[in-house]
Amino acid sequence: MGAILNSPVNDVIGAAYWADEKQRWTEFYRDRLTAQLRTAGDLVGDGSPERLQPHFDSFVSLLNTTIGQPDLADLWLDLVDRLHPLPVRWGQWSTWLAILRQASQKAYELYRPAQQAEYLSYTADLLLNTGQSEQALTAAREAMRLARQSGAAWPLGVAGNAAAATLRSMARYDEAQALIDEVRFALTHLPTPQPTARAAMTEALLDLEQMDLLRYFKRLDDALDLGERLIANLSAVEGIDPHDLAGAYLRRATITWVSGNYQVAVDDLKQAAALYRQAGDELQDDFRRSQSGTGLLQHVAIPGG
Amino acid sequence: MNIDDITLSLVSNTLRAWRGAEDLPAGLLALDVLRKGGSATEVERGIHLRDLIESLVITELQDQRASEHALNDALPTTRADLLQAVGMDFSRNNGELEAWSALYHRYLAPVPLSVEELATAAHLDVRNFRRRVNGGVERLTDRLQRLEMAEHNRVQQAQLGRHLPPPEYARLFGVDQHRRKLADLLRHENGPDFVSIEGMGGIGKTALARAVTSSLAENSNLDGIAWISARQTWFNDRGEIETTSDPATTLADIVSRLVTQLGYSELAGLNTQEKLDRLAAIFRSTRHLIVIDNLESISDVDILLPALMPLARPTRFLLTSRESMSRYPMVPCFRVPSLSFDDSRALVESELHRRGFNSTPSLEDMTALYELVGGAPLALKLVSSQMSRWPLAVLINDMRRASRSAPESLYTFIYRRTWMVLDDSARELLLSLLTIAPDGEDIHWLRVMSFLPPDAFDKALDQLLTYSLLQLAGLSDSLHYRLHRLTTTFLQTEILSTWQEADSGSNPEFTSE
Repeated sequence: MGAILNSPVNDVIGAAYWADEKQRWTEFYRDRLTAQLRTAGDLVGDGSPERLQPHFDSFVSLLNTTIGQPDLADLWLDLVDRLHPLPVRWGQWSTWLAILRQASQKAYELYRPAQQAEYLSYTADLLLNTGQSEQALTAAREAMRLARQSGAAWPLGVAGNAAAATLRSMARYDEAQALIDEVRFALTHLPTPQPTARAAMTEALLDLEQMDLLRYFKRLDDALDLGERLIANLSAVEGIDPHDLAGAYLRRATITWVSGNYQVAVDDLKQAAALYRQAGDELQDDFRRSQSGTGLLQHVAIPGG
Repeated sequence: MNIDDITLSLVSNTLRAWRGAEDLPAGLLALDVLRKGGSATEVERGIHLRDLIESLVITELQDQRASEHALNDALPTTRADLLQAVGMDFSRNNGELEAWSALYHRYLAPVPLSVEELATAAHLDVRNFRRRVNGGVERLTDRLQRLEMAEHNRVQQAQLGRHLPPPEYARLFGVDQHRRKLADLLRHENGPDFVSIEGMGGIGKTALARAVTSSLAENSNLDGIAWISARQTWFNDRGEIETTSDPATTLADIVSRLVTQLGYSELAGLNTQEKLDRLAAIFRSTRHLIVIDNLESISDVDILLPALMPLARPTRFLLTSRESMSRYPMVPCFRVPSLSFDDSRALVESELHRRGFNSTPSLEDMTALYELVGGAPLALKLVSSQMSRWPLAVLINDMRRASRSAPESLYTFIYRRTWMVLDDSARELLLSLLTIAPDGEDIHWLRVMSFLPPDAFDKALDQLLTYSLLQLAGLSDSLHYRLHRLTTTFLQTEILSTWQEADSGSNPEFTSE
């Protein structure tokens, strides 16, 4: 190498040298991408959401770079699995939506309908939350079909929740109720999802939607009873995601608010905000805090006010 | 904390609470300056506040004593010594000293002293001594207000600068005039909404944009700065990867990152047009500077620019691009000129000096180098870094040969030469950086993703910095490392097969203009 370096480069270092270099470093780079995907997955597994958030763009860049490599598909999907739902909680909705769609496509290419159903169900949920109801309903229905076909309870629960919520947002309450009943029935014939926390949430997702429907059917007491049970059940489950528990408090807050129990609603909102913060979802935390503030201002006696 | 909320009575009540070992009033615990020390709990903030006030008062007291040539190294700790010190302080006929001394001995001295015994020691009646104490509290209030104001300014500057790439070069050459001109243009009330900095790769567009932005951050009342490096590839809204971003995808990505960077995360769930509408409403009463770097990545700016236009005024946009925006009449274009010979020579000498070489290239060699690479700062920096390894004459000779056989591949030649001197660890690190975010990554991420042992990593990083293959970004406590677009392209096309196969063959990035 020393002789080469001291000589005019163009004369000595010809095409053959660079072809060899290319081959060597392309092989290295392929291995490097594999290692980076694996390590990124490990980082997500070990890191707190706050520590991971500043690196979101690099996670996306890595996914972006490796998306066209069929041999890396498993690691690619594993990284997406590990990251979800953190990017949603970080407000990276459009970016994550694009990645979930890619994940769904990859799962389809790998003939993994259960996995595809899962990504589609998340896609439906995100589409619903970003106000794209028609698309959300289409994605949710496709996810439900695939989940049933492949016997996957978790995506069925997520997609069922998204589909029912979408129908409710379109004021199609009876259809939403029928869909929940249908999903509940289907779930009884499917293996229980693992781990336990996920099994609990599969049921809870339908209960959450059911609470809102009961509200629209003017059965507030039933909705409150269901909320009470739901929170008690979820709180007792080991390893439950605080974000999911926050969702239950939030849903109960809306019911108690409508019932006129404003102080209870404010307490639930505060509890939801604290749990959202614990889960690293500052956006939801801020929303719920502001709602609880509004609640206090409007409905709770303010000393001197 | 609001500066107006730091009142005389609040400071006075806080001092009284300390003296009486009572609970502190909450007010001063909200001082932003206390956050700098990382105080999280109320107890920690209370301790930090006490330290802060003691340090302020003691510093002022000792300064005043020093001005009277009456400074003792250690403050007294016994009752007798403290009272004697009060007597000395009040014998100087110095109002400032009396105020700080009265304040210190009344509220902060290690031994509790009554106002009566303090007044006696100061040869004053109690009422007049109390006046001196109040004078001290007034001064302390003023100092706290100033400290808080300085902290607000510091935070604002940090907020404004957090998205700025760090200076690309240890020193910028030949840009002062351009920087002033562009900053004035963007600062001017009736100036253009968009300004484009243009020129070939490696000419210093980003460095100039950075200099302009820093200048505006320091001397303009900006409410925020966003810095967005356009991506080379991205997912479109159908979730498909695009090797060249289509305008709608790019607009969505840029608007999304704008929202995140400026802290309007509550807009995250809206679609692109809704986000733009909301931002336009916000921007009507706030003034931002939005920098979009490497705009040439976008295939069609016909959609992008009109979409961004409603956000302008008073907000301004600074664009950098290899391709000219001259077809858009509303975008004044500033073409970055090559460095003059003198500036080029100064840059090379500065680079050599930075690397510990005292020698300077001869006029003849420098002239030959300038003829070959022109006044492109990146090329000059890369060649300068190679001069630690080879004499400039040898480099020039080789470049001449390369230039004769394929004039368009001069950058390739320069990069290849640098590649050849790197250790394998440095090469591994360089390739590992291809997957980091376009705006760079911190050292911890680099370390983990390079898989190098600590010593080898440090050595490799040092080599990449030595050979100008890495750019630093951000503030000193949050440095980010990133690759120049030309370096990325060199790796993708000359070192790896993957991208070359996908490309049509020629690489416009390396085509000289």
